[in-house]
Amino acid sequence: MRAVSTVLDVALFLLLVGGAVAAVTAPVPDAEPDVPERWAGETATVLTTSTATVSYRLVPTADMADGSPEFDRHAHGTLARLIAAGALGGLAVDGTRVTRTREAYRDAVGRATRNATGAPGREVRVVAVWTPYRDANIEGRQVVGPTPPDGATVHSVTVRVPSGFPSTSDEANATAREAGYAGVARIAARATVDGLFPPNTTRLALRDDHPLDALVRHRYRRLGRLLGIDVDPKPTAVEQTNDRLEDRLTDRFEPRLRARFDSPTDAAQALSVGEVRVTVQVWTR
Amino acid sequence: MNDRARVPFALVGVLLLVGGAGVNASLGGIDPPGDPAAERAVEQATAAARTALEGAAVDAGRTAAAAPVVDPATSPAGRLVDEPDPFRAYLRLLVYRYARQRLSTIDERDGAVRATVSLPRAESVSALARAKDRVRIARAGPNGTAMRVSIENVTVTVRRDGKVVSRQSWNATVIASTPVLAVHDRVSKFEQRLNAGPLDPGLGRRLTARLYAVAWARGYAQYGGSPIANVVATRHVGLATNGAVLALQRRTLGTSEPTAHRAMRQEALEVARRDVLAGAGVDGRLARSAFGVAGVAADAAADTRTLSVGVGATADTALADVLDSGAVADAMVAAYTADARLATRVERVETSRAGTRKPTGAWSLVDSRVERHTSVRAGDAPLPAPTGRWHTLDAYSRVVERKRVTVREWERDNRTATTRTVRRRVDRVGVAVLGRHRARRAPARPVQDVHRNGTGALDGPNLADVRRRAVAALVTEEGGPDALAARAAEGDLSTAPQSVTGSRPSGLHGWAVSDLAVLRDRVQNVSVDVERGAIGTFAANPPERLAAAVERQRSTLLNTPSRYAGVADRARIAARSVYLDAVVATLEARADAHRDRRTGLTDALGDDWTPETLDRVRQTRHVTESRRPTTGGLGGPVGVTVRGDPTSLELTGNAPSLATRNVNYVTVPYGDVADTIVGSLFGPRRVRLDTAARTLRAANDVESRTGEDVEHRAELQQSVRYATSAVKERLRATLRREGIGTSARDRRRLVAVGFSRWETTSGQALAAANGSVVSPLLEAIETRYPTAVDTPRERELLALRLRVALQSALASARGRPQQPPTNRTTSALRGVAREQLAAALGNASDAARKRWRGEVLGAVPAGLPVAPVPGQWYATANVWRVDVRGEYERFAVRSRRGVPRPDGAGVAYVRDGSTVRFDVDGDGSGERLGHARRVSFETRTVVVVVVPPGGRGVGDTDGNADERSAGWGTM
Repeated sequence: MRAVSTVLDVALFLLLVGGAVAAVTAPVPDAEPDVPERWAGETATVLTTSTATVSYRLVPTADMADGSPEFDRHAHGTLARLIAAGALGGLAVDGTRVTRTREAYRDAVGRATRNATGAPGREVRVVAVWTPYRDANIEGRQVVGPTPPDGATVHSVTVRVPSGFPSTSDEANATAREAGYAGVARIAARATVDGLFPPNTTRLALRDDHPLDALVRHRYRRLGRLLGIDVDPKPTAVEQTNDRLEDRLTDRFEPRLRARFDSPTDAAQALSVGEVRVTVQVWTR
Repeated sequence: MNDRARVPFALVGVLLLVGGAGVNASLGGIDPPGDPAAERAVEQATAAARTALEGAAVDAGRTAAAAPVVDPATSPAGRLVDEPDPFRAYLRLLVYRYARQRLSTIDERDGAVRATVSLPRAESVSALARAKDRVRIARAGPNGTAMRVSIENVTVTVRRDGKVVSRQSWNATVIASTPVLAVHDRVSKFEQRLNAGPLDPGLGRRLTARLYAVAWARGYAQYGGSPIANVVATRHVGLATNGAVLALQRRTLGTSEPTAHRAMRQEALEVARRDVLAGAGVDGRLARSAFGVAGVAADAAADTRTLSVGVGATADTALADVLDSGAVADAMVAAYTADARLATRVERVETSRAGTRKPTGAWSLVDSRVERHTSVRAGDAPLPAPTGRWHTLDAYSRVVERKRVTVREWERDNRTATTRTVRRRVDRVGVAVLGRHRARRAPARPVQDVHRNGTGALDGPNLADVRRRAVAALVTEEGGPDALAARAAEGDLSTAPQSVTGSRPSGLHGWAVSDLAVLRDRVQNVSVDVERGAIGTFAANPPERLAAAVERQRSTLLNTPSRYAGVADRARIAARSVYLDAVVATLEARADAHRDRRTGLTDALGDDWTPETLDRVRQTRHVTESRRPTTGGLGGPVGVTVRGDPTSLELTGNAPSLATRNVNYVTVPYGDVADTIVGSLFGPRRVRLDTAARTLRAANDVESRTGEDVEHRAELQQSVRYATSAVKERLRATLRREGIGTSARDRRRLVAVGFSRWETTSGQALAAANGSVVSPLLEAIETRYPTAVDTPRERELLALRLRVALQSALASARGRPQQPPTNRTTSALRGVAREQLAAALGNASDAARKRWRGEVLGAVPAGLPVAPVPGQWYATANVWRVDVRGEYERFAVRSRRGVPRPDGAGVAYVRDGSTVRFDVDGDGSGERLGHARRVSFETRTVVVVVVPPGGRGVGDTDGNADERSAGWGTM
């Protein structure tokens, strides 16, 4: 009995050792040849995987004293995440910028991006765009790099980077069937406002020291003005303020969704609140 | 099957296979599906996942910090975070949820190929528990200011034309530049340090350091006569706590609120101003420096400086003891006493026999008798040689001839015959009288002219007559030299030593006593330096150390000459020796009493503290400043700011955020604590005469200032007067014993004149208590009886007798007033002081009122005399126990590092007691997970203050021994 089991044991052992050797020596993909078609994908991978540190200064508004050390900041993260934040910092309604307090940040991120993506013999343009749905009239955008010349062969790749805003896809699809364009518009508006001003952290910011409270208040007021309402944000009434903004946005979104999309379901499919699309274009110099 | 318990080969093989697969995964990442488009899609999807995870980690950190779960709820959801660090558990839940949502945005396309990334849905307690287990977080990066996040089994799915072609999983790890864990850890450490006791690094120890500086400064000012009635007041505790908390913020969080510093400085200046204006004597610089405000170094080590404790009055009592017990007289006799003994040396010269024992023939013996004949004559003989310290006082040489004649009567046939035999022995016998004088109490030294009369100190007889006395006792009274020689020849002469005392010079005793009086002055000044703080806890034992110091200086104090100038000189040194022995014995008895008092202190402190912990608290309070946490980190400085609400913890107001209690252990009314410590040495319910007298003086002061009667004052005055009378009586008895004064009436008058310099009852009592009456009393005696004290020595001795009489009178029950009138008067005078403050000084300034109150109440004695016996009082101590509690309604720590966001960058970690909710089941509403507990603390310490003897002592004398701030009862 023991003899049989030992033979079995050893046989099984050898079999498994063979498997282990195979597992270790299995081929790892070879580096691919350097062809222009691959450049865009490679650059996109650089953006999503390599990190950078940027130092920046918030730009005070006209009515702020700028002596506070609070204005001087640092950020660290993958370039894709930094540039996505830059796109959100360039938020504009009907082409008008909400604030310009993050211009220095956007410049710093642009420099970091160019440094990381530049390579001899090629030009790179990175466009990061956040928008609640395709062709919306509210949009945040950051562009790094020159416009491709006419006639150039441009290779491009798009990466979806989370915006940090609530994602809407599941809810929107369900709502589209029941509540039509209005329902989809409401979901897009709510996710946008909650992403821009998350109640918990916004409340903390409004209670914080100068200039943090002033910066948040300024942003609230500017967005309200661009949407045609006056808002007076208070730490105790963040939800109410957000509700008013949400109503205004819903009113704005609904006709546009109706005009652009064939059905509420199509509109729901087109929502993109939760992502920033980072498009990399590469061409030969 | 495998009864040898070995590991089957197959199992080893399985491990190798699994391990090999793992090696491959970590080397090459994810197995490629073997399709270039799919490969590219997977590669880009996993790359995008990195950005998504980093964003998820940073944002999860922000959300968790905004309302950090510190206390888990007792709900099923709460169990998800019921771990040693609930915050980390909560953060892992958030990371999973955020990661799942953000990974779902990844959608990489390459032609007809799509790659998506996913994590399983987790929308129940059990699913979330599993999800949480897949997430690991840890501090990472420089100084741990970033966070490493790992999520197991993230799935990437590849579809071609909507059909799944591959599904693979990997463990994703990112380092996110969020300082949330560092901030949480720092705040946790801050909170833990706030609750640390006085023996550990933290608030308790820092509070001790600050309070020691304040209490010692104010305690000494009070002792020095400044109008301070409340040495450690609530305002000082409050200020010290706030200062210590801010210092702790800097050390644990890396920074503190600038506005809090301004508020603290303002408060410190205000307290200092009040103390100074109220005449508290502690100047503003000191008060400010005590709180570390003006940058002036505080005297934080006042307790480590030394206090000089001398032998003092123990030198008097020991002298009176050796004089009264006859110890000095005995020493004198001993000095003049020698040992004397006989010594002999016998040398046989001749032995002979003669005569016939028995007649020839058959004679029978009828009778026999022996006749002895001894004759002694002068002649040469060897003398015995003295050995050791013996020396020959007198010697005799004799020749001793002894005859032994045996006469026998014989009978034969009725005939009688007589025979004689003669045995003759001749001995030369030397007899010597040997003398030996031992030093006894004095050190052994040669004595000049020891046997000569008329030389040396006191022209003393020395031991000149000892020879005569020794010869008389040992030779003459024993039959003279011939008899002794005969006995020596026989061998039955006793050579045992006998004491022989010589005659002493008449002035010997007085001369030695004068010498002792000089020595007394020197002994009195022997002192030791004792760390002041150690006295208060009875840790140092000054009498014990004094005894050792006297022993150490013994040879200097004896000052023995290398050769005694005669026996009297040696007697004088013997007396010194006897006296020093008495001083040491008295000090050792005091040392024993001191040890008992430490036990008494243990009992008085109760369960909370022991004298040992008091010592340790005192010794460990010196804060060694640790390194501040660095602010550098991954991606720039952390940029931490702190904001507490309230900025500075407040003792007053509608909702105080700080509550303090400080209990002064030994205070008036005198009572249990002091009794417990010093024991009922003089019977219960008695106070020291000076305590009662000072209280009486304070009561008189209040009466004259206010015109109001202080209740029980008359009763106290009576009690003080009785005690003073007892002291006077004892002084009269001393005068009588010393033969001063012709009658009782005369002595009464003498004592009255001595006290006449003090007019009031309290004044006379204090003069008796501090001994200042002795000198005027001596003057009165000298004025009335110019011849009674005609030498400085007599004056000195009389002063000694009077001082010793005072001490014993003050220590007796009759010399100590009753305790109840003292306590009742103290309470009454406080009441009057309070009432009158408003009326008499209604329009006076606040400072003037406080000053008035301090002057009146600060005069009431306080504190515990460390050695309560009059004359041995070398320090007054007091103990304060301090408890503090505090709570921040809201405590926020913010880092400004991070990407800009519409709602602000960075991380704000806020502890405000709010409830934290988390949508466990995905229904859109949150379930209770726990609380962001407020930052609160409770700690305590104890402060011991020691001041020199006399004066008012040290302690809270405003009648509020147990002082509590407004919020104490409710917090």
